[in-house]
Amino acid sequence: MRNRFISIFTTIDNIDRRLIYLMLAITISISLFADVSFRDEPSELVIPIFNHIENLEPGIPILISMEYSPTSEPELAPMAKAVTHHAFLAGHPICYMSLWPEGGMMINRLTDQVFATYPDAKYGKHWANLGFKVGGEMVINSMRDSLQHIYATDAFGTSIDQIPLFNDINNLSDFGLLLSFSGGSPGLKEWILYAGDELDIPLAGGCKGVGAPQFLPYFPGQILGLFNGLKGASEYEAALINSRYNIDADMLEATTRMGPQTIAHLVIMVFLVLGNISTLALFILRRLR
Amino acid sequence: MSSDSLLLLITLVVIAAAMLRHRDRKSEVDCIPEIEVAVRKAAELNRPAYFIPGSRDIDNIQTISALSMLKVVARYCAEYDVELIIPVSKSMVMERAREVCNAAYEEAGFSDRWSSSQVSYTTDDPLGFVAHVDGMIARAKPAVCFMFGFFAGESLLLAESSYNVAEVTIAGTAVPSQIPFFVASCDTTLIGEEFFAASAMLSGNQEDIAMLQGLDAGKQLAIGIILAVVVLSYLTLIFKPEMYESFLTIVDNLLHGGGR
Amino acid sequence: MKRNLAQVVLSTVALLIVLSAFLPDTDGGFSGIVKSADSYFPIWFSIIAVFAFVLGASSLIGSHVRKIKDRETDWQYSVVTVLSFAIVLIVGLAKLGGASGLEGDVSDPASVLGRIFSSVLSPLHATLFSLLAFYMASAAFRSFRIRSLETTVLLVSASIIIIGRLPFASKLFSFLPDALQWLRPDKLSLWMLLVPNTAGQRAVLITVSLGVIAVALKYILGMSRDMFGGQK
Repeated sequence: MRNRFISIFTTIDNIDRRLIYLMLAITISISLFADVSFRDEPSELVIPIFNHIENLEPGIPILISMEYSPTSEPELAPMAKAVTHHAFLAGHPICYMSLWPEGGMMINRLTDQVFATYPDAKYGKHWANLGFKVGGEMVINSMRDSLQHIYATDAFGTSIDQIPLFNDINNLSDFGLLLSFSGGSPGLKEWILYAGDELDIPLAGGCKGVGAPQFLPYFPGQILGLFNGLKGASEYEAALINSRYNIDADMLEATTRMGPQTIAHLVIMVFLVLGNISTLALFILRRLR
Repeated sequence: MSSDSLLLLITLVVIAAAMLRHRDRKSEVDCIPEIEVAVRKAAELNRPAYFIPGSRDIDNIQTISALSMLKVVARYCAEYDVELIIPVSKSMVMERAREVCNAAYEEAGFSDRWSSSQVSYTTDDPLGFVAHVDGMIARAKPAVCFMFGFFAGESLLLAESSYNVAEVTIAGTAVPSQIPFFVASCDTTLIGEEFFAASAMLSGNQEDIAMLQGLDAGKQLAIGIILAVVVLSYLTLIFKPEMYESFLTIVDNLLHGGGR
Repeated sequence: MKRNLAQVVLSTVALLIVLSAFLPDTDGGFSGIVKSADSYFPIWFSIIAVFAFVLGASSLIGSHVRKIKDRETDWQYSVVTVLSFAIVLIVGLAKLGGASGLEGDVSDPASVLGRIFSSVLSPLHATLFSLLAFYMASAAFRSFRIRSLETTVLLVSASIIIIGRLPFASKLFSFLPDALQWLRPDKLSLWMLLVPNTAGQRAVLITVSLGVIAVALKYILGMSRDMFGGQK
């Protein structure tokens, strides 16, 4: 009997990794098709960002720098979308830019989707796209002194002197908030070192879930708040849903995407429990011998 | 000069002075045994060893340290007659890796066991590189995989693929966000500055040992500053609580060069 | 001689870069010269890297063509590599479907290269990256076990973080009295990220920075045997 138990627990202990992959694939697929979603709650990492935008005087522009590529888009784009919805509804013009070559494409995808839902949103008045600029931290350094010095035109070749949004913007200090959604380097870290630390401007950002431990040492001293992976975006969406804005919950992506992620977390937990039960059982059974 | 620049200058001078002063001291550290054991294992199994020197270019200090480690690994591979394969994602690293291995095989007296085609370049794109290396590893089934240098999101993809086929996996990186992945997937992981220190320990050169002593001096300075600030802030809080906020502002201004 | 010259170049460039961090931001004088030299070095590196790419590309094509010629194992994959390389190179150099001429934007999304990027490379990248979810699960199953003190700490902290990141984590333990609310997994996981994790991350950051300085100084001061081909 004991040998039979040992054999069962040894099988669980050495479970084929492909079975774990299969279980994850099945459960994530089912939760995607079944549209499983869970309502989140704002955490103390995103509440300061939300409150800061709420308390900014309407009309003060916000800079969103999108340092990510298609690889990390599923995790980072929902953050940028949630902030875009919020900033637009709160009456803040938004300026987009990127330090990554792929960022230009990411900005276009995001603005095409979000501003299609607001027919009165006008390019040049409510939002503008500076596109990608090569140079990493050198771009940030130059923007500290003069925006016009480094960006003569927007992403579409229009002189920024002809874009009303830039009428009162001379450098980074004229923005009410800087946000960097960052999938790597250059990204949020460079914004902290070369903009946030050097100028007295509120800075916040978002990163992939695995990158959060790297940025938390900067909170709350050097960054106002942090979108910690997809969950950060879903927390921000929860804050938006609970707010004074009449926002359609279907437009918010992170809450929907958190469903499959939550199911994946639960599957991993089940495997962790199974693995540890088998380890403990084998330890006890072998001692009994 | 701002106060943060001054602090940086002091750190540089302290480390440089420690490195130059201790240049002739005897080495007190031995080679890390796991690397030799792993290469010996590969020789017993008659399977190749893979060495991945990160995914950044030669201007990254972690790549340079990884190439120092490569020299040691290459020497062991030459001695134990183990085929060493080095996939790289930057062409300048490819050239440098070839030079390093050539020198290591020559020093070991087995230059006939080395061919420059053992170092192969695929693409600069990190994920394309991972796809290629994962495929190579799955087909070649190496006995040992070394992953040293700068890794980003590709760390776990490489480490898990290696773990699935290799008998031994050894990694080292100074990228804080990737350390947990290597710790979870590899048999041995060199964490942070351990990685820099290991390359110096393994070489056994007096100059590299001097570097370790410079590193220690830097750490002593950092610990000293942290302790001094903590003790002073507690003393202020206890004896002059009304000055506590001003003290913190002074420290903040000193560390940020007064720029904030 | 060759080695000495290389060392002189290395030390001079490195010292200029270090010096530029300590000099004031002025346009003229010694400081201006050093600052302007510092701004040119990254450009020089990029130019050298472009030439080095030719080396890499020729090595890649050389090794795969040899594989195909010798009909080595899995030579079919090499055909795919060589063909993909040739197609992307021709499409990119000719700027097919996009603005032509030297000034034409290579990354124009409407060009064939742009379409290859968005329809082939982007989905491939996303697919590869999504493998991380599966690999994380298998690595966690294997590593987070009650086998030693270290792995038990890993297991406990990972479990708290995983549960704490569930959207309904705050409701799971809402029955706890106010005095014990700090035990809620969402609060505990945030505390773990902000306190022990931050302490560890700062320690790693500080020591890694010192390590980088020490390694860099080793090369700047000419204390390395292996930087220029092995022999001192």
